[in-house]
Order: sequence, then structure tokens, then C-alpha cells
Amino acid sequence: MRRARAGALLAALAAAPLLLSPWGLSQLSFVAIYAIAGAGLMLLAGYAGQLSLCHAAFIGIGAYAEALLQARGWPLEASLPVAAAVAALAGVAAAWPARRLAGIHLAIATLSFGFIVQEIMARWESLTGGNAGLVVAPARSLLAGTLGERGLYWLALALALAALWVLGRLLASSAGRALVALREDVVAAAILGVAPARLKTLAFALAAALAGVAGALYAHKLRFVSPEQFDWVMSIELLMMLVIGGLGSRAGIVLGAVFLIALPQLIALLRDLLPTALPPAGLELFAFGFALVLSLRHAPAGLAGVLRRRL
Amino acid sequence: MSQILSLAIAGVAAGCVYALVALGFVLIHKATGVVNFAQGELMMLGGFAGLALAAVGWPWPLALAGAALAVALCGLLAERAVLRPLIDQPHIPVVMTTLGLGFMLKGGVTMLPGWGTETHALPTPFAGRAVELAGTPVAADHLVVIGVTALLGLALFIFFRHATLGKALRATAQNPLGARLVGIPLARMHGLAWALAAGVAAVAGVLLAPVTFVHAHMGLIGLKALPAAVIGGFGSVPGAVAGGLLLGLVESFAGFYAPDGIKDVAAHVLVLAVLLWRPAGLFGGRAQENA
Amino acid sequence: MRLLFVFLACLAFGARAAPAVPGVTPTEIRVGSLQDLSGPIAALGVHFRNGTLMRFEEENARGGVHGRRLKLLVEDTGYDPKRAVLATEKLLGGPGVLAALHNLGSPVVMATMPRFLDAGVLHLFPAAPLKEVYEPLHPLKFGMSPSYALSVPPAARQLIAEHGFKRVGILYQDDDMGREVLRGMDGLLGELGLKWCEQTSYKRGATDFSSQIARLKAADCDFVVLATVVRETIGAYTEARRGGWRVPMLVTASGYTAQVHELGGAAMEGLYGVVLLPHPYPAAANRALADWIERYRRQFKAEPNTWDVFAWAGADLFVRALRAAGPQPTPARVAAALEQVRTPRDFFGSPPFAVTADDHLALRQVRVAQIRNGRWENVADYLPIGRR
Repeated sequence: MRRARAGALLAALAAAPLLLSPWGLSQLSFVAIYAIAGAGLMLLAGYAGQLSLCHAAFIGIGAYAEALLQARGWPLEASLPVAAAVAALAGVAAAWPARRLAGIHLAIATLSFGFIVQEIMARWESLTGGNAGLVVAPARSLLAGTLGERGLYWLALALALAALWVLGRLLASSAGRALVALREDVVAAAILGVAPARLKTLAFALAAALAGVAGALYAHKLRFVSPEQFDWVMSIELLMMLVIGGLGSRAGIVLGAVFLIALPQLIALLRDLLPTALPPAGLELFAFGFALVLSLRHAPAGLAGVLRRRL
Repeated sequence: MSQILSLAIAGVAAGCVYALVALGFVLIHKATGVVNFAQGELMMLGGFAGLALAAVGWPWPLALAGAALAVALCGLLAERAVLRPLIDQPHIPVVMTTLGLGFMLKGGVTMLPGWGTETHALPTPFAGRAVELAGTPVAADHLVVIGVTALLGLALFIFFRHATLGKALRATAQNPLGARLVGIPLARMHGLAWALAAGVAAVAGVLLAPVTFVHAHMGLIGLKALPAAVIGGFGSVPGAVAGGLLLGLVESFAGFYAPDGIKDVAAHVLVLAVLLWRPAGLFGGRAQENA
Repeated sequence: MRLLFVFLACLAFGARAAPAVPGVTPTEIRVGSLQDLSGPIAALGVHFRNGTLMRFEEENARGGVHGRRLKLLVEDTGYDPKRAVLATEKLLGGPGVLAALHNLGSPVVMATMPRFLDAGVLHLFPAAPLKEVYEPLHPLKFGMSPSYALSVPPAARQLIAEHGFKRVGILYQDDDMGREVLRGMDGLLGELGLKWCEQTSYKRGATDFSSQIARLKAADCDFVVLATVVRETIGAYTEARRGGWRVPMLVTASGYTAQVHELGGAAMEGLYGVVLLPHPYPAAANRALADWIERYRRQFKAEPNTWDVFAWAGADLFVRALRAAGPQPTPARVAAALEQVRTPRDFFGSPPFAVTADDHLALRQVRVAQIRNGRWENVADYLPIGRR
């Protein structure tokens, strides 16, 4: 039964470009892209308990790497892995202070790391074009030619499913259990033979690599990258998405991404329905904050937890 | 020489702005072990509260006091309604809750029709005046900020060091279980810390109005004050003031002597360096690391 | 999982049939506008929406254009390009839109303009200081405000010539605006055979400008260009004046708003500003302008500013073109009509607008104003600006 339903969902997702308007399809594309980044951050924050406030920097690095490589004629098959690798390197760099820090100090260190990366994007004009930003062409692939909106969606969907699958496999492995031990009790984990520093570095690298992939797709989806897009608000957005979806649950990643993308659209539709009385500015921000506080208070397992209880 | 002196004075003036906001971070962290990411937004709320009271005709000192009280009440409510249930939770849910609180405050203020999206001036009795210090004119607004920061810092220092209530607050942060065992009402302590921190934030908001104006995004300065608090060793009141001053000075000199852009990241480079080599902060020699 | 099905079903629901010409139905002409109503520049977004709405409703009160009502579809992007892309596709779906008018914000415009153009939709007068919005020439894209690289140099040139400044410095915001101003001024200084006396920058949101001003002062600049917005303009100018440094400063069009002297008070006296379109001051208004201000106040319960004038003027150009395009408007016909529209100098004091077949930038004039007695006063008439 469960399998049949999963298969039907998969088929529906795969067929979505043929059924949906471009607006609907774009929403799905963003959900998939955010799910990829979310899978990495979930590993780091949800399972290993490491609060990263610089994930936007990793996404940005992936986006710039992809934009620059494609502009130099690299096909997607080569540029995407390299974008992931460059982001992973940045993850290792971010993990360097993280190895000695825990809890809130780590969060603040990553926050500062994100600011520094953003400043480098803005100032390294010869490479990044600085604040003027870079126009990004549609993705070119050796095998599939130039990817349009549909092609990009299918790619994002496949990569999102792969990321979720890899996350599941990883958590079932001994490395995954060691990561969870890191969250629960660092000292006990160390006694049991888990090397916290190496494990943290690994978790950061993996999470950053996934963020890099998401960034590369994001660059093609937006067709424009500029430093201001990858600010700390985006990092918070990702964390918010995981918390609302449900920390420590793979379904939560997807549910959170749906929430993050769909809520502003829902509010926009609401705005269209109300004839004159415009919902005031700031409503979305307030709604996100409210949802965040509410879910932490009443549904710590997030949307995933709520749905599990219902079903 | 006079150049260096005037840069130093400007740095101190800017640093006190950071220090004033950083005090609020330290208060909550010292008492509850939580980093309140909504601190900047509480400050913004204070600015708007002061603005509203001034708009209905309250004189400036009364508006300042009224704003501090009103926002302190908000802090108390926020602690009671959303943070207390999370008292024994790990730091991720707590940090995210304070962020959510910040979003709600910022979104809520932005939603005020006709007010939320605009920038406002909140006139102070000493606006526009300047005092000459060693050949460098310093705005009276900045002098007031310096004075109030010094006073508040001193008061809080004495409170935490010598008052029973202050010691009880410190105890709750250092060892919640132990504090409970000796009969300290943990929940009430947390409420007190939040009320105090929110009140301090509101004072900052009203005092900074002549420097930054009052607008929905003025809480962003919290992102500079947070590094200041960390540099000073998160749990220390004098440390927060020293951290703010150091940050102000570094920015002032970096802005003059270093290439463009260094000033903007100085706070973050400094924080990373401090966290790496002296996680207890530059001035928090005795403080334990709050892992 | 069930939720995901529901989500998919909701997304599928959105699709509706499009009319022959997107955005043109028998009774309506639909126009889209991407505004920031909840993000960092919501203060601008509200005015661009208001000014456009006002002009549209004036027209609708007269029965619309060729019998069709003008319908403005405002989408809130929050200055987030991701949401802007989604909003664009929402606007392009269903009945669609004939034009996108006054889209606000550089990242928003850069991410969405290709989508509008690819869909064959007019992309009119975006509020983004980018030359990309009118160059290279594209049959469907038209700009209203010149990029900062075009608008600042003529004003600076006039002041430099008049006062004989030799040592020009700049304080710029570290973003696309600052870059454009730098680029334009680089060209001007090169032509005049001058070199930068000092360049210094700040990050958006900065509140302290003491070290930047100290740097400009130490370099002994005799003229400073401010590529700043409202709060930073006030912060930098008062910082300099407080130190007794009375160097003349020229702020770009982003700082030409009444807020600068309303918030900054007497300390702002003497500041020069680049004017694109004038601020509507009620005190010195002619009858038509006073009436316009009154209607604006009644409709929106707020004070109009230069952004409303922009929005109104852009909407006015669009309406004129729409009228000239005849009863069966298509993007191509409206574009062709736009290239013919000539406006007189209007009651705001705006210069004539003109786009031609080989130049799609409507406003190619700027003037210099100065804050005197607590308001912006024009100190010279409009100057033509270069084609570069």
C-alpha cells in the first residue's frame, strides 16, 4: 500500500511538467532545490546537532562556481560536481573553527563566516563581477543539451531524491550513528571512539557539498546571482524550513520546503482575493515567525510529526 | 596625532552604541544561558514605543521610561509564553524560537499602517548639539549614549556581583539544577532576566534614535553587537562594554587606514579570531565556556 | 505524503486559458508590477504602487482606454529574486499581462526581465538603476530613469565647472548603485583630466560614517559625491558638518527625497542633489499639482513623494501609448506607439519624455537641486545627459 502510494507520488512528480503551469512547476523546482540544501543542513543541524548559520554562503559558493564554470564552457556534468566540491572545501574551512566550538559559540562563528564569504563575493570583482552580479545562462549539458525549465526541474527532482536517499543510507550506517552520538553527548561519543573533530569536518563538508549542488541549480533557476542574495536571512530561512518541517526527519525536509515556498504564494493569493484591503506589509515575516514559534512550542517534531500523529 | 585622537574618540562613540545593545545580549545569556537573537528587534520595538509615546505628547524622559517599561513587559510576556516551555531544551530550538520571535516583532511593526515601512526621527532634547573634546567635536547624542552605557554597565555589574537577586540570576545560568535545589525560583529568574534585557534594549532603541533613526530594520545593529558581546566573553558585563569599545575602535581605525571593505568585516574576523584562540572572550579570563 | 498530493493538486489547479493577446480581455487590460511591499525597500514599493494605481484609476474613472478598464496586478517580492521569479510566472500564467510596469529592485529585475521579454510582454520603466533595462535595444523593453552612471556625471560636471573643484572624493554604498556611480564618475573625471582624491565605501545598514568622513577630510577633498540613500546621506553629511568641515556634497538621485531634510533637519542645509523628477511640495504647488496632491492624500492617506511622481509619469506614458495603439492593443503596437509619444513639460515640472526607435530611455535629463530653508530648491534647469 505504502509502496503503491510512493510510486504514484513519484509518477505524479515526474509528470508534473506536463500537467502544471510554469508557476506551479517553478514552485516545485524551488521545493526540490531547497530540499537538496535542506538535506545537507538536516544532517548537520538535525542529526549532528551542529547549528550552522552560514549555509547561504555554501549555496552562494556553489552558485558562483556553477555560473563561472558554465560561462567558461564547462558542461553540467563537469561543472556541477566541481561546484559541489568547491562548496565542500568551504565547508571544511568553516568546520575549522567549528572543531573547537560547540553550541551557541559555533552558531556565532558560522554567522561571522557567512558574512566574510559574502563580503568576498562582493569585493572579488575580477572573478565575481562584484555587486553588479552575474547573469547566468540556462544549464548546458553534454548529454541532454540545454536544459529549459522542465529539464531543470527534472534534474532538481532527481538530485533531491538522491540527496534524501543518500541521507537515509548515511544515517543507517555507523558513521551516521556516530553523528547522532555527537549531538547527544560529545564526551560519551569521544569515549566510544568517535573522533568529534573529524566527524564534524565530514558533516560540514557533506552539508556544504549538498548546498553547493543546490546553489548551482538555484543559479540556473534564477539566471542571475549577486552577493546580496546569499545573506544570513537565507541561512535562517533554511533552518526555519527544517524546524517547521521537523528536525531529525527526512519527510520534514520536504514538508518544510513546501511550507517555505508555498506560504508566500498562499498569502499572495489571499491578497488577490481581498478586493481593496491589502494585507499589510510585513505579514509574511510575521507569519513565518509565528509558525516557527508555534511549531517549536506545540509541535517540536514539526509538520512531519503532526502528520505522523494524524495518519 | 590629532588624527589618531579624533579617530579614537569617534571609535569610542560608535563602540558605546554596540556596547549598549550588547548589554542586553549579556543579560539574558548570563541569566538563562540563551542567546537572544531577537535582541535587536526588541531594541527596534523600544524605538517605536518611544516614538509612539512622543507622538501622543509625552516629554522625552517620560517617553524613554515608558518605552523601557512597555518593552520590559513584552520581554516578560515573551519569556512566559514562548521560552519558558523550552527551558530544558537543547540550544537549536531555543535559538530558533528567539529568531521566530524577532521575525514576529519585525513583521508586526512593519504591519503598522503608515508607520511600519517609514523612517522616523525621534527628537531628543540634546539633538544636534556637539561638544569639543581634544579638538574633536562629539555629538551630544553620542555623549549621552556613552554616559548611559557607563551607568547601565556599572549598575548591572554591581547588581550581578553584589545584589542577592543578581547572584541568584547568575547561579541559575551556571547551574540550573543546583539553583533549583537551593530554592531559587528558576522560572521567575528567567522572566526577570528577559524583562531587564528588554528594558535595556528599549533604552538603547530610544537613545540610538538620533544616530540611526527609528525604522523596522534598525535591529540589524544587533548583528554587530552580538560579536561585541562574544569578544567580551559572553557572560561578562564589563566584557560586553570592552568588546563594544574594541569593536568601535577597530572599525574606526580600519575604516581610516585599511582598504575598503575591511571595516565591514572587522567585527566578524575579530569574532572568529577570539572564538578560536580565546573562546572565553578577551576579557572573560575566569568565565567558563558555555558549550 | 497525502499533503504532497494535495500540494500537487493545488499547483495543477492554477492553469487557465489565455486570451489571444496576453493581458487583453474584452473588458480589461491587465498590467503586472513586481513591488517590494514587505522587504528592505518596502518604503519605495508602496509609493510605486500608489502612483501607478492613481494614474490607472484616473483613466478608469473616465471609462478606461478604448472601453477597457486598466487593472494593476501588484505582486509582493519582498526584494527576494526567488519570489520575484515565482511572481513573474504567476503573472504570465492564466490571462497573462500586457506589460510589466515599474518592477522594483535590481536583483528582482535582473532575474525576471528575461522571463517577461521571452514571453513577449512589454517591460516598462523598471525602478532599477541599471542600463540593462533599456540597453541593448530590445523592441519590448523601455527605461524611465537613467542608470546612475548616466545621471550623476552631468550634475557633477555642472558643479565642478561652476565652482572650480579640483579634488573630488566619493562615499559610496557597497552595492550595485555605488558601483554604477563610480563607473560614471570615473568617466567624467577622465574627461576633465582629474583623478579621484579619495574613494571610500560603507556596507548597507551602516550607522557610523566617522572614519569614512575622516578619510575624505584627511585627503583634503574639495567636493564629495555621496552615492548614498536616505539615512546614510544624513549620517555622512551631519558627520562632516559637525566636525566643521563644510565641503560641498552632491547626493545621487537615491538621496533626493524630502525625508533627507525632514529627518536630518537644519544640519542638511546646503546639500546638493541630483534630480530626475521633482518632489511634489504642497507649499509651492501650482493649481494642477495642488489638486493632484490633494487627490493622492485622499486616496492613500499618505504624503506623495518623488517616487509617486515617477510611478504616475510612467503609468501616464503607458496610458498615452495604449490610447495611440488603438482598440486592439498588442505589445508590438503599444511599443510602436510609445516610440511616437511626446509629452509636454508637465505640472510637476518634469522635463518632456521621449523615447525613439533607437533610444528606449524616456528620461535623458537631470537637474541639480540644493537644500535651502528646509526643502529642495532647484538651482539650475534640466541638463541633457550623454548617450554612454
